[in-house]
Parts: sequence; structure tokens; C-alpha cells
Amino acid sequence: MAREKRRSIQEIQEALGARRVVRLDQLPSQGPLDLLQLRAELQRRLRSSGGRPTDPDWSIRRVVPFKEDHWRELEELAAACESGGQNVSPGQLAAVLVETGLRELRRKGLLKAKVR
Amino acid sequence: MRDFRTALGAGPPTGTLQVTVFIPSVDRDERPIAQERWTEECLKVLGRLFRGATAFPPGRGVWRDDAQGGALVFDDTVLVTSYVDPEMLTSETLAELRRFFHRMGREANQGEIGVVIGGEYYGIDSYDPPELV
Repeated sequence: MAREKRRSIQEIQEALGARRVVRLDQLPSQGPLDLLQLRAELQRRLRSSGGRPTDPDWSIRRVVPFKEDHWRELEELAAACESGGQNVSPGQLAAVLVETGLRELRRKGLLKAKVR
Repeated sequence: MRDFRTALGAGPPTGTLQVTVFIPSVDRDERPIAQERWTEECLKVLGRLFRGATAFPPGRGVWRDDAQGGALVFDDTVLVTSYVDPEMLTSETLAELRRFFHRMGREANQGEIGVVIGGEYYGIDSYDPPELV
């Protein structure tokens, strides 16, 4: 197969005959699998021992400030992550997203301490 | 940055572009379609063009059909994804993808065929006639 230069968005759009193009900038990996992966991670980690499901490794609680619109986005995303009758709170989702961000910083060598 | 290639004993990194195709379970009138068959066909096309692809189990989805007064079409979408060397998106591979997408759109009576390439969603809602594909 002949190798060619990298295609621009417009070239791909025309080659596929696509009428519309939507940028997916909001997602960390810019792919639709992000939400599925996030939902799968929440399902795997949140366990119920009678009360609201939680991650047993979460041992510290802190008050964290949020902007109103960011909290609303967390609420919407948490609702989208609910599956099989399992509720996810915006705070739980925020905790997982913080851990994801810390893992990424660690992967890039910007964090020295080990982060689970 | 860790040298993942050496650590894993892997070949040179190639698949840096994520290509994901949405395979619906119903047509635009919410009638079931042959989703398994279209998933297999999509895997074959992506496998042949890009060496590999994975189909993920269905997730509940919805699509707004503006051509039918904004009717909401609910379905259980399968995602077929492949990690692609950007240089493999040649005129030939894009033409073959186009043939597949337009055929699926036409034969499965879809309001739109969706594909994500890199960070962009491409929506195809007008299909080439059979003689062109």
C-alpha cells in the first residue's frame, strides 16, 4: 500500500462524503470509548456493603470547591455513567477523574510519588 | 518518558490514530437490522485495511433524525475501533471505507453513518448510489 501525506480533516470529509464534522475536543483521548471506559472503571471500583456503593480504598474525605457549571457537568456525566442500576455521584466521578489526571501526570514523569 | 517499545519488546509504534465506527442495531424507523453481519463486515474491512480492529459490546444509544422531524431513534450501538497509522489513510483506504459506509447506510436504511477518525466525528447522511460503489 502506497504511503501518502497525512490527511486534513477536510480531505477526509470529502473522501468519505461526510456532510458534517464534529470536533471531540472535550474527551481526553478524543474518542467515544472514553465514556465507556470511565463507566467500566466506576462499575469495577464501586462496591456496596449495604449503603451507597463506594471504592473501599477511598479513606480520606475533603471539601473541594467547584465552579457551578463544572459541577453541573459532573452531574450530567455521572448520570451518563450510571449502568445496571448502579448510581454514581458527581463527587465519586470527580475522585476518579482526579486519579486519572494524577496517573497521566505520573506517566509523563511529572509526579514522583506513587499514585494508585 | 519510558521507552515502552523496548520494555514491551514491541515493534515500532504505528497505530496512533483511533478510528471508530458506529454499528447501529436498528434502521431510521427503529426496525432491527442485521447488526452482527454489519459488525463482521466492518471488522473485515478495518482488519484488511489497518491490520486489526475490535468490536465492543453494545451500548445504549440515541440519535436525533432531523430529516424526520427530530424523531429520536434509540438503539444498542456496537463500536468497532482500530488504531491506525495516519499514513495508512490513503486515497485507496479512504475510498474503500467510503464504499463500506455508504453501502451500510443505504442497505441498512440509516439516517446517518457515524465514524470518528482522530478527534473528529464524521457524519454521512447522503449515500452514493449503488453504481458508484
